[in-house]
Amino acid sequence: MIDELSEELGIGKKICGNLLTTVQDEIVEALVRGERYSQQGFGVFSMAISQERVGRNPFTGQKMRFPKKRRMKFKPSSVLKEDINE
Amino acid sequence: MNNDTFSQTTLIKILQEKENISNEQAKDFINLYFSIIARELKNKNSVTLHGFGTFKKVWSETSTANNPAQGGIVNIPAHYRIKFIPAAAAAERINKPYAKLKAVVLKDEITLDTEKKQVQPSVSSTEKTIFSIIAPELSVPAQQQKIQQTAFPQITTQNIQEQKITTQIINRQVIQQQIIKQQIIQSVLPSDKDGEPYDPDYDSDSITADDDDIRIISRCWFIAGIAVICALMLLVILCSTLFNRCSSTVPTGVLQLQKKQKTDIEKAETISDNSYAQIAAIQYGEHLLWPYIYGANRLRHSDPDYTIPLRELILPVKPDYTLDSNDIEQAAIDAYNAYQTQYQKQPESAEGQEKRVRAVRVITDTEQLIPGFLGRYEMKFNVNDARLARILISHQNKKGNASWKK
Repeated sequence: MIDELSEELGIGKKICGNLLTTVQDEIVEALVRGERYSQQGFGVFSMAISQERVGRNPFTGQKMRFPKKRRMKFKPSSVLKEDINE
Repeated sequence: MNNDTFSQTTLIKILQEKENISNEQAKDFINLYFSIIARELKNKNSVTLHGFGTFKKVWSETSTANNPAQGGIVNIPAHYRIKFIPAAAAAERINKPYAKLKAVVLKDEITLDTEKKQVQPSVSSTEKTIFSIIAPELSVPAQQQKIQQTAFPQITTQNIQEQKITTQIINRQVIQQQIIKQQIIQSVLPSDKDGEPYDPDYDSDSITADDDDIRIISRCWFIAGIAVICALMLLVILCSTLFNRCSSTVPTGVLQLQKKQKTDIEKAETISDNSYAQIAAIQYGEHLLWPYIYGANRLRHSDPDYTIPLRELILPVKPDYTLDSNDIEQAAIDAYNAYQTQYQKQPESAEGQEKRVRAVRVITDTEQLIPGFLGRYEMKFNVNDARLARILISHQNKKGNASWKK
């Protein structure tokens, strides 16, 4: 992936690698702040809070209470959906 | 929850700052990056981005669903769904505020059942007593005994219809009893079947609904501890106040203090002027202004009683009482502090005592020059010194009044 990016854009591989990690990092950081990032034609990354719930451990069958949690959410855009289902 | 968007332009700016590339390059990079992901996703089943997450293609078959807006059933054709599974590192970073919370294992239903069994016998006994009080004529065992006693002879001797009617009546009564029983059980033990009440909003993992009892007991202990501490504090305060009163009511101490004060006052009134005062008397015509001269020379000779040779002396212009009152006051405080430090060095000796008296004299002298000085700067003086100064001032006032009357 890095190879392809650097070839297409004419940027060094090292810089490309750094850019890639910073893009991922910044998106995660934005989600940590509670913001959302939307990429046109791809989808929206957002942070969602899932409330506490009672469930079962699938391995042991024990009843458990799972705590409140912030999770990463991705909603694909309609363009991406259509693209994949062609 | 929060709908603030992290826009692409800010992302581009960050990239530009980090890697020193142009605006277009950064923009192209981001767009190309995501388009590559999309393309890969189209060709493969999943795309994994290290440290970020995995995009997965999931096949879902044709299905039917209700149209919530218009009603009716809608066919959904088979299609790929896109699933995103965040990487552990990213998920952890996002969940950091709630990282403390851990999943709690609840007690199994089997244990709950045993609990119920343990509880029930005691309940049934109470329930029986209540039952017999409320409806004694409907009590179950008595009725059943009656049926057994009466039913057998009826079958053999009397007609069957009567028997049917009686059994029907008894059945109804039994059903009624059961209903009443249930109601009573519910009223006696409302929380038996419901399990623990559970507050969904609590945010701490230390307290769980399972150990309600432990929580209550620990709270009780906590409150008891606070009560004990409060009681102790009160006792200490009471003791200290009592002790203070006792010590203050000791007459000998007061007498000694008064004696000491008297000697101090006598000393203060008879104390000789230092060299600064003589200079002030000559130069300004007011010996009380000596701290002002001392203030000018303080940095070279901190001892107010030191006689500086005249050629080294700095002699400021005679101050105006209203304009330069602040300077005079400040100089007086400096002089007082100098005497105090000297006194602190040797508080027991006669010299030290003299220094202390001189310190008090500085206060009284300046008070004479600028009325209200003591009141304004009382916080800066020793409590005893301030008290002595007040007594001295009142003495001087009396004397002044007496001389004026004469």
